[in-house]
Parts: sequence; C-alpha cells; structure tokens
Amino acid sequence: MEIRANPARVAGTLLDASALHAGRTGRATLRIAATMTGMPSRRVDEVLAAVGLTGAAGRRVGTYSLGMRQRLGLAQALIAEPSVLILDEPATGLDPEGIAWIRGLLRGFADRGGTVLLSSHLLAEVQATADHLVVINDGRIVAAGALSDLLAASGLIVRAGDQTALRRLLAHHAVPFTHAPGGALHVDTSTGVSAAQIAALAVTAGLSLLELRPAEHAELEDLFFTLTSPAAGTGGTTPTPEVPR
Amino acid sequence: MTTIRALPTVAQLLPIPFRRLLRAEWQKTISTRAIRWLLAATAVITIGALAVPLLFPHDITQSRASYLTWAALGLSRLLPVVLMLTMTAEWSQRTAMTTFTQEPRRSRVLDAKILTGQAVSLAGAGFAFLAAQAAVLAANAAGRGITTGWDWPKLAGFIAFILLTGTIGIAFGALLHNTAVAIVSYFALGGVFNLLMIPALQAAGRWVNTGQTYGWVLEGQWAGHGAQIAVSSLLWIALPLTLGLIRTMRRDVR
Repeated sequence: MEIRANPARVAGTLLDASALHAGRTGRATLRIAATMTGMPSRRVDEVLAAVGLTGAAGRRVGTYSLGMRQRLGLAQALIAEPSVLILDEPATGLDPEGIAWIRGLLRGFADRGGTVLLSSHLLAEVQATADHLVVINDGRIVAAGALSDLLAASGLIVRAGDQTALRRLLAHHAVPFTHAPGGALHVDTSTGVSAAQIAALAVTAGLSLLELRPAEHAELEDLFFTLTSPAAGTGGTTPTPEVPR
Repeated sequence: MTTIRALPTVAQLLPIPFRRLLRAEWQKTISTRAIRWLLAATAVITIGALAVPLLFPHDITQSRASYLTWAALGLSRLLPVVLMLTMTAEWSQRTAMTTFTQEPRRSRVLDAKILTGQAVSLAGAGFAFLAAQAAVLAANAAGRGITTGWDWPKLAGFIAFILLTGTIGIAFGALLHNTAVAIVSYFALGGVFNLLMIPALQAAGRWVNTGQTYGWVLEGQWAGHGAQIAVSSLLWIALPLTLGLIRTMRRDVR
C-alpha cells in the first residue's frame, strides 16, 4: 500500500524501547526524528524536557537504562506533536515513580484530546490508564468496550449448600458457568440468565443457596483470567491463569 | 509537559520531501560513535598511505598521479565499511522500526542512503585529494620537483574509484543487513580476489575482481577495459543492491 503522507505527524509510535541506536546520543536521536518529521529543532529540547532527559541528552543511548530508553522512545513518539500515540509496553523498565509519571503524561495527553493506543501485559497498569479496553486472547478479540462496563457486568456468583447438585442443575439447564475463586460458581449472564431465574431453579430443585450476587471484577486481572481461561464460558475445569508473554 | 497545540498544517502532513530524508540520513551517518571512529581511522590510514611515496622516493614514482593513487588506496580501506554501517545499522540497531514508521516507503529511505553515501565518498575524496596535495607540497619542499599540472583523466579516475569502492560497501550493507556479516563478507571477498591473481585464474579475474578492474579506473585506463569494469560493477554493485532493495522492501521489522 502506498502511503503518501507524513505518518509520524498523526501518530507517534513507541514500539520497542530497545530499538534505538546505542552509539548515538539522546539529543542526536531526537534531532534525526525532528528532521524526518519536519519539526523545528527547538522541539528537541521541548520533548527532552517533557520526558525528563534534558540532563542526559548528551550521553550515548548505550549508557541509558531501560527506563531512560522508554523516556527517549516516548520523546521520539511525541516530537511531531501527533494526536495519536501508539505505545507497546511503555511502562517496562520504569521504576514506580516513572510509572506514575508516564500514567500522568498519558492521562494529560488524552485529556487534551489526544488518543493513546497502548498495549500491555501489565494489567494493573492498563486498569490505571485505560478508558477503553480490547482483550485479545490467542489472536481473537474476547472482550471490547469501556473499562468500567467490562469490570461491572460480569455475571453472577452462586454458591449452594450442595455444590455438586448445583453444578448438575446448571448443566442440566444449559446455564454456562465457571469456577470462581473460593469454591463458588461464576455464572455467565451474557446468555440472558438472571439471578431470579437461578433462584427459581434452585427452589424447584430443593437446593438451598448460600450466595447469589452480581460478580464484580474489582481487578482487571480477574476479568482477564475469566475471559482467557480455557474453561471460559463452558463450565468445567478450574481456570488456569496463564499470562501470555 | 508536551501539548497538543493545534491540528497539523497541510504542509506538515504532506509526504516527507526527499531533501529531508537526505538530511536525516546525513545526520544519522555523522552522529554514531562507530562511524566517527571509522572516519578518524580512515583519515589516519589515508595520511599513513601518503607517507609511503614520501618516504620511498626511489621505489615509487614521484608524480602527482602516484600520490593521488596512494591517497585513494588509503581512503578506500575503511570508507566502504563506513557506508556499510549506514545500511546495516537500521537492522543491527533495530532503528528500522522507527525509520520505516516515519517513512513507510522504504525504497525512498534506501535511495536517500545511497545518495548520502555518495556525498560521504565525495567528502572523503576531497579530503584524500587535499592530503595528497599536501604530500606533494612536502615532497617538493624536499626538492623532488613534482610537476603540479592537472591530469584530468587521472582526477576523474580518482573520484570514480572512490565512489565505486564506497558503493560496493553500500551494496553489501543493503543486502546483508547484519553489520558483522557484511564486514566479514566484504573482507573475505578481498581475500578471494587475491586468489584470482594466480595466473590460471587471471582471465576470469579481469571480469570479476574489482581490485583489478577498479585499479584501471583509478589509473584512468578506461580504454579497452570498459566492459570488464562494467561486468565487475554489475556483479558487486548492481546485483547486491537490487537484491538488497527487494529484501529491505519485504523484510518484517521486529
């Protein structure tokens, strides 16, 4: 596909912080980026200050820590004043202070009307940063939407005096469930099953329910494991948490 | 804190003009530590090579052409490696990831690199010429009486030799992408060319050995050797450069 434009002016990218020339200084790296994207050279000092690298600008990138390379990569992404940032794991290698800093920087960028596309395996980081979320598992999108929606509506937690009977009952009525932490069952409500229906089923079967409440994913991590476990939506085995790397 | 000041102007969204790619490539070339050291070494070797005709006036023809030849031979030891690095660094240092997102039309970047390489070669030729000039002055100060008239074919051959030799480095870098592999292959090729000097292989060597064919270029002896110079250039410049362009266009950046 022929792209006849200056893409970096629209979308700044930081795809891999280690993909910087080790033999060049931070300033030289940014000066080249400014030339490529047609920005004035004062922009170099601006982004250096924005990422806190002014003092290290004259040092070779080879002497930088991973966190400093992330900052330099971010400066490179910001240099052409794009309205979109595409970042892959930008918090990797940053200390807690650095993580808080990048969170603030990205938040500010988004609040001023920019769009940040961020991919990360650090779920706590994503939860603290993202407004919208797309979860990809095994190459397929398994969830997409506003973070608050995804964390809110996520099924029911059900626990009965006789868990075996409850499992049999749910399976008999084709109600999809998984095992929630603590021995309860997690019922997938996306098929339209409501708490009232589950209660009615239990009463009819003579089962005493000890717990019946909306499941809330307080943590994105819970949601992630629910969505990506092999047993997701099918009932059966205990979810085996595995974070792909 | 950086700000989103305004929407980009139309001019800023226009495709990157080629002169800007050229400027960026020039900045890339002169900003790395490896290349700065190599350029310094190239200067030292060039001056060192000129010491040979200066110190051995009885063994080496004392003429302007001879001094230019020694300067060119000194310069061309490492200059191709400098130009090789400008091609391989994008892959070895993985900056291709940035470069080709900023300019997705990779062939333009490659064109800019090739042209920038010629500029570096010309600058090198200028330096070698001045160094040879200084050496001739020094020789004459020692009473050698070298005539300082212009030998235009020789001067043209001198520049062409430096450009061609440098372009072999560019072609190797463009094809091989890996700095170590490119450098080793380049010097191994020189070793193989030495083998072609043995009498039984000399006939073939006259067509493939750039050590021989570019020697004619350097001496301004184009006449009668045009086809051989062209064939060796096709083999060691045009072919690897073309394959390198194809590879660079298709290679996945990771």
